[in-house]
Amino acid sequence: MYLQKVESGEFVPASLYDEITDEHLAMWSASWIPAMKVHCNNCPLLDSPEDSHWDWKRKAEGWRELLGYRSFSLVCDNELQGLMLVNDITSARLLEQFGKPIVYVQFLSTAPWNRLEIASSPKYRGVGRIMVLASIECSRESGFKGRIGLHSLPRAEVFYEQKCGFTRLGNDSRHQNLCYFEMTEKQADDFCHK
Amino acid sequence: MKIDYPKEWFVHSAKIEGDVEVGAGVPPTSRILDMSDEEDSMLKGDYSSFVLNPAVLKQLTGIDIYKTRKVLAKCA
Repeated sequence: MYLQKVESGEFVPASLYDEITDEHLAMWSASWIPAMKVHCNNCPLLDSPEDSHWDWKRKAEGWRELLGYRSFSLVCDNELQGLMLVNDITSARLLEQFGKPIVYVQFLSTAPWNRLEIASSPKYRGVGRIMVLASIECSRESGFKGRIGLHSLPRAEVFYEQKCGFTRLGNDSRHQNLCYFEMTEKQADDFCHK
Repeated sequence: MKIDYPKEWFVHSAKIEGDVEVGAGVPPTSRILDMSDEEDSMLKGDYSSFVLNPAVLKQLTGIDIYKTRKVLAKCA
């Protein structure tokens, strides 16, 4: 797979791992945390990135022992570019596929240097859609035909609805009022053929 | 799991994505109390860092920590 280097416009090879290893967590700790801290120290709390408090190391300790959870990491140029945790123990809410099993994206983050809100010019482009592609393939592998769902961070809603083709199901009061999005088999097929 | 797509897919995909924000998970309000982290620790049976009464938490957020723990333990 490939990511676009924004500065030059060229496409460079990237590797997607279907596991977040200790090495990836070390990369997260050594590069993401300092970059996030520098940014957060210079902006008001409410303007800081919505996932700036996520502790992937601590989360990893919780999910590694559990069946039904899978993690992914994306590496390019020996740098960690994205992290994602999904589970396959969730059911669909969309009427046309209600009750059917889906792959649920529990957490998804991109590296600080790939975000416009942190870097004046993002370094790589395409991490988000590769992670969505990975969750669709994970769903297909589980026999769920590409059905996936997630609760979007408020600033990312445009991405899921307009850039990926998810169906917006509205704010979820049981999940701290985050907007819930779901993708059907047909939408997953469309996404993969785009 | 094998993901085998032509380079053109990624070229087109990056153009579609542009520079929008990407992220899914816990909302900004939880910077004060990261629910996901609390749930993580509860999965391991550690309630020591939990600052709210579970009953109050359920009333406020709808999250039943006991049920969540039981379901996940069953899956494991």
